[in-house]
Amino acid sequence: MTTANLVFIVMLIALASYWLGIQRSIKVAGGKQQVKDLVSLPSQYGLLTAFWCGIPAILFLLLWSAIESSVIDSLLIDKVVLSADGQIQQNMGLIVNNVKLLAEKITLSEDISSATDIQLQNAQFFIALNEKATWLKTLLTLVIAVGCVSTILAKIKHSFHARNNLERIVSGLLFTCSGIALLTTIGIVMSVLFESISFFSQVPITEFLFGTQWSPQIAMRADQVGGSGAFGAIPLFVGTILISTIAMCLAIPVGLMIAIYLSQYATKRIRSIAKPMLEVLAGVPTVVYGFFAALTVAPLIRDFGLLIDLPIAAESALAAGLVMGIMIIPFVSSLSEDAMTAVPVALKEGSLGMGATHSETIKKVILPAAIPGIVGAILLAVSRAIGETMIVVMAAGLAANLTFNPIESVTTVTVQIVSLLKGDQEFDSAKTLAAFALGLMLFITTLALNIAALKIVRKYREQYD
Amino acid sequence: MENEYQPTQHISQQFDVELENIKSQVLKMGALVKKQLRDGLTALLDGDEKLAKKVIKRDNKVNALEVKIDEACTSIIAIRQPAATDLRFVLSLIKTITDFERIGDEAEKLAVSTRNVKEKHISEQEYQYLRSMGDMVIEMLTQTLEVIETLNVDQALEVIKQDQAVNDEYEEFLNFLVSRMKDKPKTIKSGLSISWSARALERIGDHLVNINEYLIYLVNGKDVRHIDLEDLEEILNEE
Amino acid sequence: MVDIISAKSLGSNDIKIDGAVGEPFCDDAKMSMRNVDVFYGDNQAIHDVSFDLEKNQVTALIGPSGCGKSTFLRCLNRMNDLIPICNVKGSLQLDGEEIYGKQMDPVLLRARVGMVFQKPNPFPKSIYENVAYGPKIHGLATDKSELDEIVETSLRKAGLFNEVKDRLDQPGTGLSGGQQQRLCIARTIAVSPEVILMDEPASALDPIATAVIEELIHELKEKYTIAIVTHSMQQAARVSQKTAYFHLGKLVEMGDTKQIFTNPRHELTENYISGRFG
Ligand SMILES: Nc1ncnc2c1ncn2[C@@H]1O[C@H](COP(=O)(O)OP(=O)(O)OP(=O)(O)O)[C@@H](O)[C@H]1O
Ligand SMILES: [Mg+2]
Repeated sequence: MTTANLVFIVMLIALASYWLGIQRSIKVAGGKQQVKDLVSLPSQYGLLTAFWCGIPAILFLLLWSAIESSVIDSLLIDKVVLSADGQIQQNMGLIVNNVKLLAEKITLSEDISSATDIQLQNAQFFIALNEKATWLKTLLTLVIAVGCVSTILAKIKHSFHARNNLERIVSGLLFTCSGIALLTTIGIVMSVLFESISFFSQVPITEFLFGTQWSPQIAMRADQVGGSGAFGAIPLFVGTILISTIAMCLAIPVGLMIAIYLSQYATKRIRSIAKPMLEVLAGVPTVVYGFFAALTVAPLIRDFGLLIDLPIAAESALAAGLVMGIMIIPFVSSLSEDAMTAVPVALKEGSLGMGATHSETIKKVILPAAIPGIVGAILLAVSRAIGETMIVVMAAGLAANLTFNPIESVTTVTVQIVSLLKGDQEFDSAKTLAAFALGLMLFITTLALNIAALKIVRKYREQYD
Repeated sequence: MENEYQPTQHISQQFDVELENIKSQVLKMGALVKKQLRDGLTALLDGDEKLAKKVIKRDNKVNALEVKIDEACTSIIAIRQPAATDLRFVLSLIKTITDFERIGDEAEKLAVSTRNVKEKHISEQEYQYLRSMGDMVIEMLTQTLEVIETLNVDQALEVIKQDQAVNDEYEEFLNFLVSRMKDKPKTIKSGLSISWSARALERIGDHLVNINEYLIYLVNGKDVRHIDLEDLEEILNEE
Repeated sequence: MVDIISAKSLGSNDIKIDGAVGEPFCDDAKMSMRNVDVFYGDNQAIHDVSFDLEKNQVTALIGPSGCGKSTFLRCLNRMNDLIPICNVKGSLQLDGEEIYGKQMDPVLLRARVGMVFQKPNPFPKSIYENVAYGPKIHGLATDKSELDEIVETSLRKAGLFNEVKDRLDQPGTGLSGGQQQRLCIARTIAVSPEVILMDEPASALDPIATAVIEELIHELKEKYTIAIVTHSMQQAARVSQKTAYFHLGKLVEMGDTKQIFTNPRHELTENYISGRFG
């Protein structure tokens, strides 16, 4: 039986045990009328039974699946070694693979005439092993499921606190889920960190942080001209900052205006139309923004430049920045709007009640009161802008110019990470490792921004609650 | 008094209980005062010194009741901060018991005069005058107690009117005494004594008028003190 | 205590409210309202209310929760304009000027008819800025020293100056509840309104802070006309000269506070102020 089928069956058993648990608890109580004498509800007994049936069985299945293949492999290797007199150690992997392939062919009853006897023998052994394992797995799983159910059913008594047990199981489940997310994050950080460390063993950290030359492609082959390679990340940082600045210059004013309009002036009807539209804007895939930037905005800007006799690069920072700005408008606007809506009506009324006009009230009372939330929103937007990849990949170009001129082509940290990692990679070359170092920088920056933003937002929340 | 109106109660039932309590205490005090008055009068008229002593002794009880009700009212004012009808209710009853207490004192005076008057020998006419005044006042007191129970404004007015008769009777009695004293100077001493008792009865009538005025204020919220009877009726008829 | 009410021989079971009893009108009216109806959408919150706010007097609006006191109060300086579904009909006049008339600018109106709210709502600014806010907006001060003076006198009038004079630059939200409320009152006085509306100004305060505010109201009435909504009968009795009793959106009774609290004319008023089942 396959694992999927087994899981399905365990689910069925769990379902049945839910019902059994209910029945059992009713019986223990002595009839439907006496159910209230129990310390917990029948459905809680049912749920508990179901959990106790399902969770151990599925845990067992997971464990089994995790070690099954390696156990079978080692058994197979033992067998192969036995049958091959030990002189084929080096090709062990290949032989084992061949055996597995053969086994597959056999089960699919394909042509196996080319196989030798030993191979056939081994393949048969492998198939048998697999079959045995599957049977064992099925049997054990079912035994565990049924065993657990019967144990728990036997435990159901008047004074058995299913409610508390259930609570513990649920909190355990929740903990596991959050644990997964946490572990993943830690894993990512660790991998980036270790690769970066090995990068910094090849390239001094000071050069990386303060060098003004970035030409990692050349560094690949030692025989090339200028083969020393340059890993000064300053041009990338500057490019990132340039593009983010352009983006924020667009997004902050526009986003704020939108937020003010929506939270203070818009009628219900307009809000009900405008808010979803903004959310759509936030939901557009960034690659689409990338098209837009590269195919529509950039040429437009260049044409405009030609009109006023200004040579503008085809892949200008301006185009990428503007489109990125449009992309993050919804981030700024929706969070700032929340912040402004959260300003107590009492404050607004207080101001209006003293004869202030609406715009005076907004300027002097609502915006100052909402400023922490707005700052939080902007910081989140900035970190989003810095981490943004697709738009800049498509619109900003690859040339690592160290310039603050928005009409020139620049490149950003994220673009470089992509270009360093695309194509064939060797994980020990400085070029590839540089991507991890860049990633680490990016991660640290956005993390700091996010933490700052969260801190500010949290502080501002405390003010009114 | 018949009325199909559904009585409303306080949201705080404890408050209702407290107010009801005060009212029954006041009625109890009224009954006691009435007994004092009746016994004091009997003692005086019959020269019953034993009864007189009893009355004098019992006056303590009246005073004690006054203090007790006073305290209950004070605590209601402090705790419940009564408004409107409740406020008038408590105020009227506080005043009512003061007048009751004074009536008690007057009754005690009657009892105290018993010995004096007995020595002087009360004449038939004097007896008649005092008897009729006393009966009138007792009747007024009885009706006043009813008014406290029913809060019937018409009846209260009735009682106030009756006081006129008591005053007239007192006037007449005084005139009678004065002319007799002129004729027979020997009777001056006993006449004065008797006149004190008559005076006490007259005062009791006045106190009862006060009480009924408080009760009218309680019901109508109109202060009707120090107003002529005719004006009073006019004011009340405005309603 | 049953009998007193019945002794009034009030007759029938259902109590009608047709027109306010008492004396809702006066000769020296600062504001006069006639036949005011207020609707929230289709829901009528105020029914045909007419009365006057007498000049330099404190008028208390009392009544059970939801009877429309706040709604009515907010009509007086057009705060209800902020609620789109709110619709006011009838005539409301301030010194003979129609409040809801075309000539009336709600912004200027609110400078003339100030409002103090139930919950103290100081702006998240310094104490000084809180009070200076209104004068700055309305350009009441030409220079800094004049502004300083307005701030000081307003704080003094609100009885707060001595408590905060050393920390005028600290945030107004850092004051205690009672101080905040007085700050809000100072803020309102700073624009020298003619009428001050107060919606349960002391409901969140302790007895001492309440007493201070009541005393303040008492002093303020020399200069201003005041309308105050309160749930505390004692407070209404203490601070006001006139009392208006609202019930289910109607004005039931209005008259001298003394009379209302010792001898109300309408049975509903009686029931309400003496704490009976209506
Ligand atoms: N913004 C609103 N939208 C719709 N209906 C409202 C609104 N504000 C108040 N109302 C309704 O108007 C009626 C009167 O409300 P209002 O707030 O004036 O009562 P209130 O007398 O001030 O009560 P409270 O003493 O509890 O403050 C209520 O029935 C309420 O439901
Ligand atoms: Mg209200």
